[in-house]
Amino acid sequence: MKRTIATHPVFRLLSGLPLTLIGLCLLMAQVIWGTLYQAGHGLFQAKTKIFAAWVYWLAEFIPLPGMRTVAALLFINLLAAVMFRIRHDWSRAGLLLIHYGLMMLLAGSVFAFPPIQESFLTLKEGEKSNLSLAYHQWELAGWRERDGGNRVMTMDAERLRPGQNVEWPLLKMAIRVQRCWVNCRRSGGKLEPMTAMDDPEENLPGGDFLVFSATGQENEPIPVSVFAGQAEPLAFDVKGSRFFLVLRLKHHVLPVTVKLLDFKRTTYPGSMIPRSFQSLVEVESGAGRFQALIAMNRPLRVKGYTFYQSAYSEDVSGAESSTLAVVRNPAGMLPYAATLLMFLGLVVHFFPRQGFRGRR
Amino acid sequence: MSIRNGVGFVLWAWLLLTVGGQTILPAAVETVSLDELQRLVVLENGRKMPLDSLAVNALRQISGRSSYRGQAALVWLARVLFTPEQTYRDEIFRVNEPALLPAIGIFSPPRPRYSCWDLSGALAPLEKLARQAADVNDKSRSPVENEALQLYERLDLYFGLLGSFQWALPDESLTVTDPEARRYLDLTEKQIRICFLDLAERSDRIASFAASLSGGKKTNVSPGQREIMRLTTRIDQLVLNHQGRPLRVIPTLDGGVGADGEEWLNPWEVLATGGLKDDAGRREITALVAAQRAFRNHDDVGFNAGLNAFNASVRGRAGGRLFAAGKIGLEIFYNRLDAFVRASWLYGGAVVLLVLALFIGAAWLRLTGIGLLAAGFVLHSGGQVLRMIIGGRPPVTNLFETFIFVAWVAVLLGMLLEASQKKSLGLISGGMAGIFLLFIAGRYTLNGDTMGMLVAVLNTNLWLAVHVATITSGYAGCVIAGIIGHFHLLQRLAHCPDRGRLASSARSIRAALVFGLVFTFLGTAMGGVWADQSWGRFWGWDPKENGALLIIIWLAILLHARRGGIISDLGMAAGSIIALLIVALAWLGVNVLGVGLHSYGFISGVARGLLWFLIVDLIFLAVTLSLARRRSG
Repeated sequence: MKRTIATHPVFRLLSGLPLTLIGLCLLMAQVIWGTLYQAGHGLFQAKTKIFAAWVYWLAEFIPLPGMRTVAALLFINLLAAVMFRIRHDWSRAGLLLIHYGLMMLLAGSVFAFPPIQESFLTLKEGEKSNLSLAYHQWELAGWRERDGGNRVMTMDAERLRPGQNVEWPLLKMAIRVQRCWVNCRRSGGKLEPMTAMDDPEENLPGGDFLVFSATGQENEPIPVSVFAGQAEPLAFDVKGSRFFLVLRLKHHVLPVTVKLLDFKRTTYPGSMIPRSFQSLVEVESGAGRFQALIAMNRPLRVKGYTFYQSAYSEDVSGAESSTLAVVRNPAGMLPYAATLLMFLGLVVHFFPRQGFRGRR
Repeated sequence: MSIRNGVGFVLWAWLLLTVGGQTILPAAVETVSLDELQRLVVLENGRKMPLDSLAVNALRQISGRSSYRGQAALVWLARVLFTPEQTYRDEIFRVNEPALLPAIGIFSPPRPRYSCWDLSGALAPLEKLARQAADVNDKSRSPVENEALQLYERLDLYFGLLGSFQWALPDESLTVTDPEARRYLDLTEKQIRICFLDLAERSDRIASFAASLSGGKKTNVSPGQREIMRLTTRIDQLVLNHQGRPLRVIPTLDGGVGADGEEWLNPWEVLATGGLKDDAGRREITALVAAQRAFRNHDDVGFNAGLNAFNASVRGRAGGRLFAAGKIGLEIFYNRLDAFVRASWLYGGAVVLLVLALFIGAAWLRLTGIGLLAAGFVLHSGGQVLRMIIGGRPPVTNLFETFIFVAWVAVLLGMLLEASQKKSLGLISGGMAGIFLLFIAGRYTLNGDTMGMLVAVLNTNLWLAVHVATITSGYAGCVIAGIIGHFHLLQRLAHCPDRGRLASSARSIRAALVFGLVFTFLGTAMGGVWADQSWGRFWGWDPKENGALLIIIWLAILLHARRGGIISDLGMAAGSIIALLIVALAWLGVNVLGVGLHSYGFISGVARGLLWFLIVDLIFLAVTLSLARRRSG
């Protein structure tokens, strides 16, 4: 049965070396193009348009396979090859290990599962928080003054569309989106759309909304403009209650509370060359609290989250604050396992037989 | 780089050039031995090094050479420090971009190097141009602007060194003629034009004078008081000018600055902070003064005795705690050994002899060539080991060291290939890789210290050792494969190609490519692990990562295509040359892009060199490949 399938022209094509070579050449071209593209447009655009894309639109209208498509093609090719072309015996153990490892890597890049959550946490010495902020994803958040900030409703900004209604029954409030922009500026009291920047961290979203009380949209709506660049939340009254609306960087609730006890930056004597950056933190979780030191090359891993020393700053009064990158990567061990398999495969396949003599 | 704030560059230069008096003393370096001077421990850019290293680094940075008029860099530095007035006409300042000269008012035909005297009229326009260039984004700077900044940096370094001992030399601006002021300062008859040290010794009197003047508007200020007020202003100016400048040779263990309270001061700072009141401070300053005066008087014994007393005092206070005297000595030995330059000469000799042996067939030539290569390799290894011991870190920590290390692995690979093939090809290829890569490494020494301190993220011996050394070993495999690929194509152009040699070179190419693939892959994977540990992501599409990925993909393409019979040995040879070009791009080309986490350590001129290398090699490949195909087809 297997032999029949293996000799079928379609499977021979799928498992064949020519397809492997075509896929690798395409991959190479995309890596080159993506690297050059990155120099001009930044990493985010290169990732979005090439490295993590199914389709790359050349000159905005010619569809070419994106790197994900090529990775999928190579994955299918490899799967077919290990199923139908490469014999499973001990002499090919190394070859098989290499290809299984590669399949794991390709599968990870094709399906991007599960997604990585990246955010940051900036704390002054003595401050604590269980909320980290996204780098460039925004959310529309609303709350009532009388709840004291204990009941905050949010909606991802990227999901906002003109004409859409956002219902927040707990706040007895509904919002209708009139206009919204990924990047805009305030001019003469009005919001003006602007071209989205290559670096998404430079964008400031905004929008015009109509706010209704939840008792029904028959009430007179209150028109409001919310802009990410405004320093304070927008405050307004609906039926005697004071409401706040704000477009802010998306907040992620962490399973632990982190308190910055001390930040220490050392330089080599007589120079400004940084020697180390260290944050001494106190971590509080349901199980208790403990102290940990986070430094370069020494992250803290707790409850599926990893905290890395990322940046620091000092205000005019000399108070130091530390920024920790917070990453949740459920599939973090996948590349470790895949590369280990591949390395073992390379060693087993090449060195015992070949050494430095080359294959005759 | 930063442009100095405070006093202007031109004024700064003028102040220095007028210190020391107009009397030009005869050269002292011919009669004075510099044994003790080379051992002086100095802190520069966070690193404690012997003065000998500072001399070599500074002269290389300024002039592009490690010696001046056949004399060691230390001799030049000794003259700059102790008899600065003798060095104004030393032609040491290289100007790499001739278009800069008219822009700074020099209209004479370009010369490779200029003296401080030649440039004295150009300082004002140079400073203006450098300030403008500093405000421009480094990617948008013109070659003239870049050169203006670099020349400014060279002059700044020179002036910094020039002024480091001038606290002990009479200063025109510190002339005291008023009898009242002279009485108050207790100056002798001979002390008309005094030095900063003279004032530091009278700091209490000056302080009490300043205190007596403060706290009210003085209407009747006498000429003597005015003279002292002028001196106090001048003192402040001098202290400001020399703060944070070379030479930081005096450690303080009770300071609050720097790591672990460690602080090193230059003599100006010691004098300005009342260091003479401290026993150690007075002892060390006195020893330096004695050494300086002895040098100017050609007194070899006095000079070395002064420095010996200084070194003994510093080592007694700080040796073992702040620096290891053994490593200082080892670094002096490393400087003298000049291992990599000597190794490249030996590799050059070896390659010439081995190529001659191929044509002549003389066994003694081959044996001598092998001996030279082995000697070069031993020296190369020794230099590498010395650097590791001195720095206390893995072999590859910066771009300079990647060239040194890749050259070393390439020579080793060449010898291993030779052990199995015995056709001289491995040795010649290894030797050529050694010469070429050590030559490029030499260019990087012009940037200054090659053993600079590691920034925080690199300050981890484990990952530096594992990731960087592994991936650069992969580069070495591709370099060797590429060089043998060139030979393979040339062999095919011979009238009667030796089939045995062709097969041998094809096998060598394949083995080297496999080595390159395994190590580049392993290095890349280790880099991913390090990135995951440091930044929280295994792969970030950084240009350097992409460069490594390109090497892996290309090698995978070659090996699959050869295995499937899609390409022949000729195709493998051509492919190995392309692998070499990809390595060059991954190694240096990504730095041209100026983005990503690895865009460091690029020097001007390398981009042009890289481009020429790519063009010439591609032309070579196109021509030889087409001729070889025509011949075989």
